[in-house]
Amino acid sequence: MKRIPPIILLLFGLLLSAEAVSLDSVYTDRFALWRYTRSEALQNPAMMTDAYLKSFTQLSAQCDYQKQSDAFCLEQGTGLFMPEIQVNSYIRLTSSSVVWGEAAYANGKHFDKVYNNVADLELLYPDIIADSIGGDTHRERYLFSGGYAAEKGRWQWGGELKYRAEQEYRTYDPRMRSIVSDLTLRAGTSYAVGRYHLGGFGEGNIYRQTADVDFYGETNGMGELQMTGLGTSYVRFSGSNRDIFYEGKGVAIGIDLTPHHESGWFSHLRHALHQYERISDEYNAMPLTTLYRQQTGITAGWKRKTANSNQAYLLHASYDKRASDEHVVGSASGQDYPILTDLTMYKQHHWDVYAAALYGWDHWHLLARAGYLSQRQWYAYEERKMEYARIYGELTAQWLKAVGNDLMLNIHATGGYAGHIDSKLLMPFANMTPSITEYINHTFRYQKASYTHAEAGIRADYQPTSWSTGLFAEASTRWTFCSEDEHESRLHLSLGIIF
Amino acid sequence: MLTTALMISACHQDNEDYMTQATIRLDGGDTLKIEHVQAMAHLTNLNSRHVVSTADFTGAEVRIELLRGAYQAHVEGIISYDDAQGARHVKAFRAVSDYIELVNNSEVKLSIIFLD
Repeated sequence: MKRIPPIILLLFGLLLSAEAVSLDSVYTDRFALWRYTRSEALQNPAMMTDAYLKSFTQLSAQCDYQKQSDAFCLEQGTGLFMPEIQVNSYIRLTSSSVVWGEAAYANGKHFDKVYNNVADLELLYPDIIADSIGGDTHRERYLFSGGYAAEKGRWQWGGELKYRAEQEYRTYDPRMRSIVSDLTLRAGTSYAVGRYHLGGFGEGNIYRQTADVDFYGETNGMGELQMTGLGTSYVRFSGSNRDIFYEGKGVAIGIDLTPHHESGWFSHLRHALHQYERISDEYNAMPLTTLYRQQTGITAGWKRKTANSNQAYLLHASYDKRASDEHVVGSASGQDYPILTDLTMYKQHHWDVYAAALYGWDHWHLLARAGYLSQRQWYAYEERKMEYARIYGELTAQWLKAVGNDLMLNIHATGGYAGHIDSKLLMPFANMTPSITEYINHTFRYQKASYTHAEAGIRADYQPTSWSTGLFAEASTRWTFCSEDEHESRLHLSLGIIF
Repeated sequence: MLTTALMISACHQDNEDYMTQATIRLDGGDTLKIEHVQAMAHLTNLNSRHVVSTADFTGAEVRIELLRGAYQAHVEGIISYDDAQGARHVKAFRAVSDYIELVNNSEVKLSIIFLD
């Protein structure tokens, strides 16, 4: 047998090792904690032109399971079971243009939601329709998004569209049904100045939800509450008025400063305004309340990436204000109810401020975060207050490496603690019904609690060099322990292909 | 788009002018001159069903600070009045309305009926 010259073996070995490094760097580019330093900048679609080193399409089937021993937030229920199929794609069309997209379908259940009979609680709280019975709900969600970005000379520009359609319903009394459509359009640009990209984007959102609650059982015809915050309700139009819809709209702007080569100062500012009007179907499209939401976030930091290590330090502050106007309705004239005045009866101020440090070397990344969180809710008359503040700290470690030429592993673990430092509850308990008193006490019990959490996960990607398609599997679990002797467990499983 | 966003960002102001000073005046007609009233006035906010009560009458009227809005009014008590001939009477009375608007320093007249 003819011997292969040593020089050819050496060249072959070098090529294999170069391929391994290449795979490793592609994998690192997609999954390393380092992406954390770019996640906010990538809200600007113009920045997507160099979001990833390499094109990819990922098709996955995944499942999320979450269960709390007692509901930390009654409106969100005790957990969920949500299988989902998802396709993500990022494709480089030319050296200067990319397209990306996502399509997803989820169909699952939420467990034991109480005092909430609408979808999208996070968007609409406190202006929801509710009762004290509640129960499990079915949820079905369709999500589509896509975008295009290109660069020419010093300019980058891009646009993105997202559409979400969702329905949530219950098959026993109280039979709530919410149908959501949510459309977001975003356009952005950036300009290369020296070592930096200076960018900006604008966003528009249109939102609509129809929500109704029915009772089929003859003896189950209890009323629904048109909630207005901290246990209050719009009593005049509660009860049998159970068909409502929400009309929402919003805008957002963002400004970014990002270094070209992952080293230098970076900053991100985002300001968003949304409003959601709750309208009664049964009173000739009469507006009951309008929720105004203002979100402002700013991040500033410095990072440096070298061949051997990378590090980043950043400060972040976000402020989220909700103000709900109750429309004081006059006496009906024919089918029309005049609005006498608007009163901003409910306000919520939410602050989150933290510092983070990220350090990466070899195949490791460590991310440490420490911060302060506070939320103040207030209702004007009779005055009600619910406030809490926490300090928190969290450490995440990630080990990410190509093992041989075929297998890539991403293993990560997180531990953290959020400790209660201050809380306040002011309620006119003498004028409250027993069920609302119980609801408020339950809510406050978990708001003033401290939480400890631990999370661990692994993702393995397998793609022999002769395959054009890779396989991956992912599993992670998270456990949260509350100082009220209750806990939450979460499990995420995902299987898929990537090419 | 940015300009639109900035314009809308300045749109909403919180409406914090919550309270108003309302005046409820009892009306016994042209032939009665009301001297004293000893009664409880209950005003029920139609939105929240919250009830504000007062007995602080001055002559035939009572002033009360309350949340701006639509109310039901219920006044019941004892009234002292002079009739057209100048004779003094003391009688039980009631005055009610199922809808009054108390928004901007409103003055509302309620007709009384005697209970005996």
